[in-house]
Amino acid sequence: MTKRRKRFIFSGRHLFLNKSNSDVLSLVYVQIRKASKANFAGSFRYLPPFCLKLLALFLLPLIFLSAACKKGLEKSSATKFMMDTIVQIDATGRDRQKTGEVINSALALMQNIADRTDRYGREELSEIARINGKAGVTPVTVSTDVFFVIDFVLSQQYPEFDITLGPLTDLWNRCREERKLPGTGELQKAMRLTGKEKLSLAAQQETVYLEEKGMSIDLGALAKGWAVEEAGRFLAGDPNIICALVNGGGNIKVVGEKPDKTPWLIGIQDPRDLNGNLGVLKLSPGESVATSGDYQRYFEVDGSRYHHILLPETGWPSRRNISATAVTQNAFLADYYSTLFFLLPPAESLSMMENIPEVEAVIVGSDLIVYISAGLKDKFVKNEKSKWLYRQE
Amino acid sequence: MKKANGFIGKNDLYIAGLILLLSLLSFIPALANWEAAGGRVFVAAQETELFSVRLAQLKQGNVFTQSFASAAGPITFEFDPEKGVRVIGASCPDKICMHMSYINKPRQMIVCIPGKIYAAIEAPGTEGELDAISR
Repeated sequence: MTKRRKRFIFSGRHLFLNKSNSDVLSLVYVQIRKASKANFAGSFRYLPPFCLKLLALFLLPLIFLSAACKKGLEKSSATKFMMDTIVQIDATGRDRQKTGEVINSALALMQNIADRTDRYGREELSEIARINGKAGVTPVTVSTDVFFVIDFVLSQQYPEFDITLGPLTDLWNRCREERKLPGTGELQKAMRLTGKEKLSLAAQQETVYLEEKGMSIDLGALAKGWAVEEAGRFLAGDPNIICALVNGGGNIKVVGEKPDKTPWLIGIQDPRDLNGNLGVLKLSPGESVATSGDYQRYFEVDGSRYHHILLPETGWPSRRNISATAVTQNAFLADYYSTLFFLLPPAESLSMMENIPEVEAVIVGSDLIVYISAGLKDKFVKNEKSKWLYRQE
Repeated sequence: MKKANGFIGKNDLYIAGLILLLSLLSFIPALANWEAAGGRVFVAAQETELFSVRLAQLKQGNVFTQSFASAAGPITFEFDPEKGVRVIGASCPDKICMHMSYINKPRQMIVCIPGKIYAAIEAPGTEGELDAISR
């Protein structure tokens, strides 16, 4: 069929440029008198010379352009440790050098957020360290974006998500290093220094104030998502970038459509097989995904696992779930909801999602069931080899 | 060459030949990339690559271990031609990287966060598999 078509094309004696439109795309047949009986090579000889020259004229730049495009669309990557995790950005751009520069700028943007939110950082750099350092002393003026993040959390109605758990986190970090559990007394002491109600904001001055000395804000459950979102937006706004993937330790945002037009495929970590997946999410451009789990940072005492995601009401690691993955259009929200869903009973999270259609989730409950929210029906492909029991809502 | 039927001349054939040559030349970078894309496993700390071995070379050799200094003390990787790469010794208190099994597929990674060091498998041309893993 192909050969026949070639013969058909090259044997036409009346191939010409439509002079009313000089665009090469308007190269058309207007008449084919008869198909030549000559072979392909023979037919080629009948091609009018001006056509050949025109073809050469247009094909040469096209060949160079094609080669240049292929070269320019190569993927570039960069990896950096920050925010207690590893951050990787993959981007495909029109110009490889520019793509590399844009990736570095996106990483610098993320590092800036990391520095400003690092509660162990120097007060000259970290706004959160400044707020914590002035706890019980004076309100601290912060930048608009930091104020927005804190204000967002305070405006949410879920007490399970608390950014004032700094003293508790410090206590558990010490316990992890010493491989012991916290005593009741020290746990209660740390819990007295927590509570969103003791965090006050002044919108006019954009100040943040912790009411008691020793209190501290911990944005660990939000900063990565925030940084990933900002990096994703930065990459999306660059005209050189075709597509990109920002991965901040599993907090992921995809930008643009892949060159082969296929969906982005993101595996969800199997919480009990660190080399396995629960399944694969098919993400569309602009979507984000984040996972919180009990396997990321933990220690064991007497065979029990103690991880880093704490329940404010008890001060102990939450046992309601094993992992929670949230899918949204915004990496900051994905980070927030993955932590929140990890802390809530699965039924409550799934019920909440019915009222928030822009958020979907895959939750591995402590009942060993993988709950898949209704909106992921066509976007999540479960791992058939997995031993988990799946339940599609 | 004799002009054929008044339609095609010597110069036209030169142009055709040039087009063909340039078409073939345009494939050379792609061929070179493919050659380079054989895949490799590497160990890096921040942006500095500390060690690299081609997968083809790894698969032909014997099991070996390699230790590196990291921000959290020495860390030892095992390279197995059959099973892949894993961490068999770490100085950090959590040793989470040691809980991971072998990595042996493109884009898989073992990360020691306290040590700020990682091993990864890189094999360009493996699109179609997972783009990333949310963990």
